[in-house]
Amino acid sequence: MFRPRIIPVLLMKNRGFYKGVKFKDHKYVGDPINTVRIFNDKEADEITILDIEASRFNKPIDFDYLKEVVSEAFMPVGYGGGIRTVEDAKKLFAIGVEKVVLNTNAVLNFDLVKNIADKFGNQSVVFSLDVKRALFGPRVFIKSGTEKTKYEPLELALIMQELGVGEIILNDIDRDGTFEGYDLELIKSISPKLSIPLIACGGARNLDDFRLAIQAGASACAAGSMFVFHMPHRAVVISYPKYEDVKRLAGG
Amino acid sequence: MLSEDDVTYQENLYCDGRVGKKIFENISKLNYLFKIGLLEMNLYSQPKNWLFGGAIMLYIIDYGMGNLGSVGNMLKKVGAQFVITSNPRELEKATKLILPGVGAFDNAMRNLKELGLIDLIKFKVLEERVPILGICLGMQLLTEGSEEGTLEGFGFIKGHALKFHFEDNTLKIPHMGWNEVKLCKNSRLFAGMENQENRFYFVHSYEVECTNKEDILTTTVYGYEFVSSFEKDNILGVQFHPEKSHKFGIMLYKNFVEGYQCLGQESYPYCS
Repeated sequence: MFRPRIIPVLLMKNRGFYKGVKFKDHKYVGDPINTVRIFNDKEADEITILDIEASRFNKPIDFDYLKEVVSEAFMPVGYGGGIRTVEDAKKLFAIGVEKVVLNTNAVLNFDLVKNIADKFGNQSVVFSLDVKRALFGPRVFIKSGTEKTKYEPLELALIMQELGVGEIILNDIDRDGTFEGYDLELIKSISPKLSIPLIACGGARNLDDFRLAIQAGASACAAGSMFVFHMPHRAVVISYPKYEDVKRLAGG
Repeated sequence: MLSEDDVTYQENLYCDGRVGKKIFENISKLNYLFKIGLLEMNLYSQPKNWLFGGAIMLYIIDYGMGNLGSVGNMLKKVGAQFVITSNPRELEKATKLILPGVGAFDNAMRNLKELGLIDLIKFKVLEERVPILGICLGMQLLTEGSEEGTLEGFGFIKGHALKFHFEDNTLKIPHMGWNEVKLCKNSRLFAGMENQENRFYFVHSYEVECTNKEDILTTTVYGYEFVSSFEKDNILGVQFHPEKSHKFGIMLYKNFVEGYQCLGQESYPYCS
């Protein structure tokens, strides 16, 4: 039976994994190679690794290290951060990354999205729709949530779909790391209008949140804090739901 | 040094009789290799794996359309020796092939053609009968063609790749994610996996419809039941990505690496 994917999102900087709240105050979570190995043992459906400093501080992609991390992952891997050219994407696919996740450079350069999608297929390009509520409603942000764009979420999602993106991660900055649950209204306002899968991200605290997001129209659910922190004290504990529980989500 | 004329002469000489037939087969092979410019040295001074046995040479065909890194990582995990190449001279040594693939059907066939690999792969698979495993698009290429393109596939398996066609419009295309496979017949590829629920990671918009139902190895349900893998003699194809499917993928690759040999080997007179 087909079932929605549950995807841990791991934030990387300086060869370490971190997690914060609302894209800020990042706390060290663990060594990437070790963490990926744990998710591998727990049979995670897929993982997404985002370098949170690459685009923001204009750093190059750490291919050598990523190669080491990815060679431990026997599940699909998405990588985002600092992807500026088709050549960058090509190198990532060559080391075993399945999907490139774009945000800043996709917004600044629509051709990049189109060129990667044309060359490597739509399924290989994911757009991270980083959304924060501003004075006149939700807007899309770039550079790890530090720079506001003129786009409304749905507007940009449709543009990205048209350019050839295969999936969209709806990354809710206001709920990131808050354990408040997904913003279901936001999911409902975008997902039905897209023909490509929408991945909900930001705010998840338990399996019920996944179920609600899927009912609201998400094709997959991503989470960060839920898989690396143990509440209420945010102790670092890597966890992933059991297969039987994930399977039950498909039933609705 | 054998020239093409010599080979043609020998072909005429041995073209009838029981013993002649086997020699003829090998001479045709030589003749073919001369024609495509792969064989320069005298056959007898340069032993070939397919002629003399020897180590399994597993080759991953690199034609610019696959996630080779992942396949390579997985093969390392199962302890297999392998070579990734797009060079026909190298591939000619293969005793086992993996044809990965992500992307559009016509692009793939065009790339294979430009690299001069189509006839070589046909020869390896149909004449030498080396085991070949097509993955995702690679599986679809082994059929006669696809609704996605206009170019012909290899045609090893009777059937075509068609776009998913279902009424249920809540199901997104591509079929992306984890799904279960149902085993339809016994196979070494699923050795040790018969009595468990096997799940694999899929990403595809087209699915293969097999003309001969006996070729179907597993089926999977997405909107309806489709062929998620096939196996006919030395020709295998999987629609899913075993290299991204945890322990299930590890077992499958291990089975392919350890459980399959060149079917053609025993028929060559110089084997022992």
